[in-house]
Amino acid sequence: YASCVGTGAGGSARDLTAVGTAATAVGAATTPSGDGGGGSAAAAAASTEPSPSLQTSSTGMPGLPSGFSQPSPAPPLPPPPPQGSSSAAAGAAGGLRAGLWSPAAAASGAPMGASAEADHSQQHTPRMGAGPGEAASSLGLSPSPFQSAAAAAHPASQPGGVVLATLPQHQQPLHGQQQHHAPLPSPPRGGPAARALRTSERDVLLVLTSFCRLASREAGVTEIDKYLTAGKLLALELVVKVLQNPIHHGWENVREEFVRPLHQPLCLALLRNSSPADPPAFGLALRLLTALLMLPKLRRGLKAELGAFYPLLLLRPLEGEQLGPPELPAAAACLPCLAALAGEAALLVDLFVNYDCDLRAPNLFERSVQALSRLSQRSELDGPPAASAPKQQEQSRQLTALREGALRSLLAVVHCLDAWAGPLKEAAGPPAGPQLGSNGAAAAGGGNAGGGEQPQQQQGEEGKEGDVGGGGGVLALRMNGGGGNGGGGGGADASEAQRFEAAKVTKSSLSRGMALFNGGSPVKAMRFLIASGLVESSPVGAAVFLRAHVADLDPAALGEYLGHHEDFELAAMRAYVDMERYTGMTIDAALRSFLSPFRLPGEAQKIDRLMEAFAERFVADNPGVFRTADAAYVLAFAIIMLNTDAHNP
Amino acid sequence: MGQTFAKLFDRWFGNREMRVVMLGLDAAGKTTILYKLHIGEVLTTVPTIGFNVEKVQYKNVVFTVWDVGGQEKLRPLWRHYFNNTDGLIFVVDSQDRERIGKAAAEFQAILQDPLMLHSAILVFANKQDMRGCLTPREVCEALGLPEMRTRKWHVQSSVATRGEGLYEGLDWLANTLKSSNAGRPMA
Repeated sequence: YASCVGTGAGGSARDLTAVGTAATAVGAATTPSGDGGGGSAAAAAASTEPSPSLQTSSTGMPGLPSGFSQPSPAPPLPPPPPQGSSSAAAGAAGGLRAGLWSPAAAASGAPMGASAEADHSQQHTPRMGAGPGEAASSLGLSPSPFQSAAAAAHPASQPGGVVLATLPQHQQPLHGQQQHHAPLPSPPRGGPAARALRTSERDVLLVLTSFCRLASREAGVTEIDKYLTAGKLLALELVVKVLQNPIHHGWENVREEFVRPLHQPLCLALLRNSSPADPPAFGLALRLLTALLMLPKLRRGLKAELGAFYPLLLLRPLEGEQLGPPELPAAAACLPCLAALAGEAALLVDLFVNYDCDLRAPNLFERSVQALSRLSQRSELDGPPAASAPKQQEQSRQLTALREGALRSLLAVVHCLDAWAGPLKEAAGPPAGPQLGSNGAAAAGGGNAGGGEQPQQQQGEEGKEGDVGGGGGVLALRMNGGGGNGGGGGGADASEAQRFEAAKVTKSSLSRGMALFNGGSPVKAMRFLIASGLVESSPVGAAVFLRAHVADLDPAALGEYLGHHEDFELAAMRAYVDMERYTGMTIDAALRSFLSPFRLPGEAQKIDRLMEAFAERFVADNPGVFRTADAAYVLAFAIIMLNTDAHNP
Repeated sequence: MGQTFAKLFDRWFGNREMRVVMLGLDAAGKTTILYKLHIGEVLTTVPTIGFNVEKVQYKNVVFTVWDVGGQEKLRPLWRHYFNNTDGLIFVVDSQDRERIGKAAAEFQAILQDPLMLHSAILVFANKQDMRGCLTPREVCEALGLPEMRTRKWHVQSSVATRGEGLYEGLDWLANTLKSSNAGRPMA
């Protein structure tokens, strides 16, 4: 196993050295510092196993193990069958595999100092329970069934090319075999020797981290800085080139140990170049992000980071309210990248499953489609018209190009998802077929129709997502048959589809409820959330929800809700206050902590009720400080009065 | 500079400050009234955590209107806050026939308080635009005002959401204040 991966990495190493020499030849300013200054630090980083730098990236994504595996994992479902089928279905579905199958996520979320065994178990346990799911899991894990299933189902989604077609085939049986044994008690690759990076890998890492280091340099304005900036741009470009080089087979054969140390430098490089104010660097950062997104192996461990970078780099220039002449270049830079992403069905599905269906993640897929659709409908630029006629013409030409590009991307999204879902449609059988077809047609037609295109399009995508789950289930059944785990495939396919649908529905209702809550109708919002089953229909349930989402709630709206005079809300307010703990605090400190998450409404009765509840809680936590709760209440009320008086001369 | 003179003028020639507390059951419309009174000049705009307090200037009188609770338990606090109030605005939800008794009980309790003995009483019979609401006369009787011969009181029908009746009420308060000379010169 090690050797076969070694060849893969060796291959990339060769390639990298070639690039490295090119760098030496091209940029005199870049290479010396790459080998010297940054090099030693990077070498130190690389030699101490996966690298200390990753600590940050692992703390940066605490939610990853569960986060990247499934939107809202599986509490309501019986764990083994859905999980097993989910990974297998994911495998079959090709694109879902990165989403549902998360050894990398689990491992990269773990502390880096973990022993080989600990890390090993981390790689395999979170995904699967024991039992029937295991066979499916090992199948699901091994790339060869994936490859074949994916290749059978999605010939179009394969990067294609002669090298790809031959090399993986003679490498992967080995690879897969090893993986098959991995969950067994004596894992052949469990030893530290297998985990440590080989010299060639370390060298490649060193070069790559140096590139990233150079790429994350701050740009200056002095004469020397110009050279530095040129070097930085070159480094960025080189990183992009390395990531995009088709000779690496989409990094499929690269080991996790190799990929993990790259996360942090790559993110840093992205972050440092994320300002549209520096167009060349911004453009390269966009390309870097696109390249990262295209590589399942890399994007898998970077869910939280990509969730932040994607809107920052790719969506912000397109989503802004204003699209005037100043915003044009950034938007124009974003569009090709989005267009490139739009052709990747596997990525689109990944985005949907991992972000749009995850309560805590931004709706990347939806927002992308929305941004594109808005752009495609934009008829004129905002802001004052350009002074001269030629300039105006130039701008309107640019805008037309943007609109066209956006429309093209939208169509690409629809087409590639349709092609991707094609085999699944057939597998899912007749009932889903016509419906999907009509949805797809509606979406495609909507792309041209302008007007009410948005909802249709979304609906079309969602229809497809549903079918993806279904088709994946059928493929899973086929695969599980070999592994002796044929049971439950049919049920699993439905439950899989339902799970995504449910997750998406949950997320949309939650965001609707939140918007309503913060938009000034907190009481209505809570009733809506309770009616849609997101909040338990009890005062305690409401209080728990409020506490859990306090960071996302508008303090004034929360205050309004807590002060509302109807019975349920009163009970919810009392439940909310009952969850406060004031033991050992003085009354003013307690009052301050009570009032900090929300804005106290100004109406007397509301203050009155809140102070009464607060006083009860305080006295319960601090018996003996006041003789009665009433005394504490009068004092709390007086404090509010004094505060009012102090600020109202 | 000009403002200083204006203040001096105010002090010598008429502008008075009147401290008013506004009471009433919840959802009677106090907050709405408070903010509708703002149509005039906005004197304070500092948002504070605490009670809604508005300063409204109307006809040479600066009304400082406090929306504070009138709960029984809070009586000990009144001494400090209502001691020198010149007026009491009591807001009644004319549509809420169920709670008019409760409103009357609270109203009576407040009036019996020694601190409130000398205040002028303005009652807003609010929400007069609602169908089936109590008329101002009914509100007046429900609150037991006709029996109060020693106090200065006035019932004003109002629709707070449209701002109707509010300034008429303030008119009465301002006139009462002037005739009884209860206002204090501005500090």
